[in-house]
Amino acid sequence: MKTAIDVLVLDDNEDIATMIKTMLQMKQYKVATLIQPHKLLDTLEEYQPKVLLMDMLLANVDGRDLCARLKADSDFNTIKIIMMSAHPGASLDCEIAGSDYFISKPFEMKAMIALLEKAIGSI
Amino acid sequence: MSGKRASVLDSFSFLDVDKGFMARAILEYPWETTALGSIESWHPNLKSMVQMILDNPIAMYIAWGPEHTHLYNDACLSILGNRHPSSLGKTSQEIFGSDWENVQPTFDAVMTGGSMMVHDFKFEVAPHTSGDSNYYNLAFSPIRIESGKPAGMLLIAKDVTAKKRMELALAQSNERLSFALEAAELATFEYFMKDDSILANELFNSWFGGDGAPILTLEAWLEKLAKPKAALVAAAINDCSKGQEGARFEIDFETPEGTEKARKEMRLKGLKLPALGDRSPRVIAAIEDITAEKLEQRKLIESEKRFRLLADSLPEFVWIADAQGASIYWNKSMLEYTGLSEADVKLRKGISIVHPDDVEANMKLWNNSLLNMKDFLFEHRFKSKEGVYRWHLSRATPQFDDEGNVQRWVGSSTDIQSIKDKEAHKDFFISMASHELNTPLTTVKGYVQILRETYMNGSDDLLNMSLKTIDKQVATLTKLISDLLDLSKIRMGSLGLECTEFDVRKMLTEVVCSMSHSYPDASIELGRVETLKIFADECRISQVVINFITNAVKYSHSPAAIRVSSWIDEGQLIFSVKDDGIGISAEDQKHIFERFYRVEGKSEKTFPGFGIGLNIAAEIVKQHNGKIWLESELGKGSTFYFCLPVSSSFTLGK
Repeated sequence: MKTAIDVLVLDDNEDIATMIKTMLQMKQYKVATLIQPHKLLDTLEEYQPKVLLMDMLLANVDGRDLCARLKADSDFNTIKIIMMSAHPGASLDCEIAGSDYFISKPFEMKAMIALLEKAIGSI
Repeated sequence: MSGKRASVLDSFSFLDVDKGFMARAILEYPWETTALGSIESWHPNLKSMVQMILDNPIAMYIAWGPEHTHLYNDACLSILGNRHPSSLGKTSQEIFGSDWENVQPTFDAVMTGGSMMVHDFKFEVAPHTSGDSNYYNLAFSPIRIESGKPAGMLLIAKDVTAKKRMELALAQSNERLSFALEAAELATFEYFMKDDSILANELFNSWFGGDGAPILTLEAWLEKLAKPKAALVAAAINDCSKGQEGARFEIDFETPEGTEKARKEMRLKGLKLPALGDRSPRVIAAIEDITAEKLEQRKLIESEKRFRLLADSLPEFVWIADAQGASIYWNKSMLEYTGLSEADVKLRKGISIVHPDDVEANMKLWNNSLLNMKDFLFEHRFKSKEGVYRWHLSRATPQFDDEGNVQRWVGSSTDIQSIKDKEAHKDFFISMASHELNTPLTTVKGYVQILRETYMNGSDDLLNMSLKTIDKQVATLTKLISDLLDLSKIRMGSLGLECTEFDVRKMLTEVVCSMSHSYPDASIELGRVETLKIFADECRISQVVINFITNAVKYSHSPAAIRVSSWIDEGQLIFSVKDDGIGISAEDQKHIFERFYRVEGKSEKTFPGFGIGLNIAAEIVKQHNGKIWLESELGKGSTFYFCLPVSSSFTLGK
């Protein structure tokens, strides 16, 4: 097990995942990325992130299902989840799935950092 | 008892003062002032007659002497009414006045020795008023003295008012009946079994009589009817005549096509009556001409048949409901689709085919249509016999009778599943397209911001300017994509609201903050703002405010001064965004909320956008049951407003 990190970014679009990682590292966050959703549980165990930043529509998997499963699992339900989507109207769906926060794509860097601070601050 | 009265009573003990009211009245009357003289001097026959009438419960009256001085008993009081006591001791002439001439011959005849009966004599209870009349049988007889000559007369009155009134009522009701028969154009006849004779009214004879000659026997009438129904009519009358009292029958028959007379259809109703008084048992019957009614009925059946034939040949569902809204007919394709039978429809099983999620709204709208007699239009899912739901668009319209009452509802339902599928497909496509466009934009925007952050403090102006422009244009592109998505949602009516409770001040503060950040050159400030929580779609409401602010910045001289306010007025929460920009002409104001409408600026300045922002804003406000408007003057600036109803779902903040 490695040292616990701040944020795990799960997005099946590698460019976006990398961009977010770059952006957050600029602000001194410890960040890891994950492209394949099926490795999520292993990755979470490996990195022990404080926050999971996750896209809603992933290849073959619905992020809302993942979110609901994590929130129901006592091993992971302390992880703060921020869901993001390029569907502007998806915030309510994500909230229903148990997501702590929502941000729509594309986003302002300032908004993303503010949300992350809020999520980590609430732990 | 004392004085004179006592002595009178002693002398004339034939009158017992306790015999009644009139006994006392006669005793106390000053007879000495009349032609009869004092009671002591009365003829013994008069005395005994007076005694007799006072003893009698029947109304009796005595007129004595040549002047006919009048006396009467208690029973006469109710007949005389207010003529008592003025009649007592008076002469006929005094009593009858000008009528005496008419009455005198009767009196004279009796006084010369004859008895007389007068039947049903009408006598007003209170003369010269509009009160009831009573009727009496009067018996006049002379009262003789020793000489054998009549010295007075006795009048006995028997009240026959009740009998007379009944007779009058009967006569009146007979009159009414014959009037009703005439008005209803009913031919009537009575058939007497004992001699096969019939007694008919005029209409009967004019309908069936050859040349106005009355028809006198049943047989003669039956010959006038078309065969073979005539035999059935004969049998019906025959059965009835042999049946019990009160036996009834009804039968339709026809008259044959004659040279002059057209074929007629008629309905005969009959009733057996028992023997009554001098009338032997008989059958009374009424005949009505139902030719026109039958014709209408046949026409209706014919048109109904044609309608059903047509309706059953249509692939669309056609249905009919009664005035109360219950289905009475479904066409063939509807029955086939649902697998229900005609009986099921009449048993009100129709609603079972409507999707459970649609039933409530369906019934609400349908009842509303029934109540207001307004057309029904609704989209709902109908279950097929295979258990599959398909979307249908139903319309129904009421049919009125001449009095404006709803007779029935004629409805149709069209399968719109393919349209719904296409809409859903299109909706999905646009939604996916917007998602796919936003995804690359996310990366671009992200890296631009990373680069700007990295080189913010550098001295490379070209790099800074380029990054700033890319950032701005990416923002524009994002806005365009989201507007297009909204527009498509509005067009499909699927711009759903996600209402939550939120703080208006907090929402406006955030919007103003973020807009100030986006437009650092503009001065955007918060004016008066209510501290209030409302139940609405926060995201959409801030979208409207952002749209107002964006427009204000776009159409203002630099640097723009914009003020955002919100307050409650007359039950409405009003939002306003005021600028000091170029203003909007009256002509442009009319169209500004229309789709794709763009206010053209000065030639050197163009304004980016599809011109759909305000249209979307208007739609969002409309969905919140609010209103949107503006006030503007060219060169002086504009204020855009929208308001939301402050309903029970709004709560004042602490």
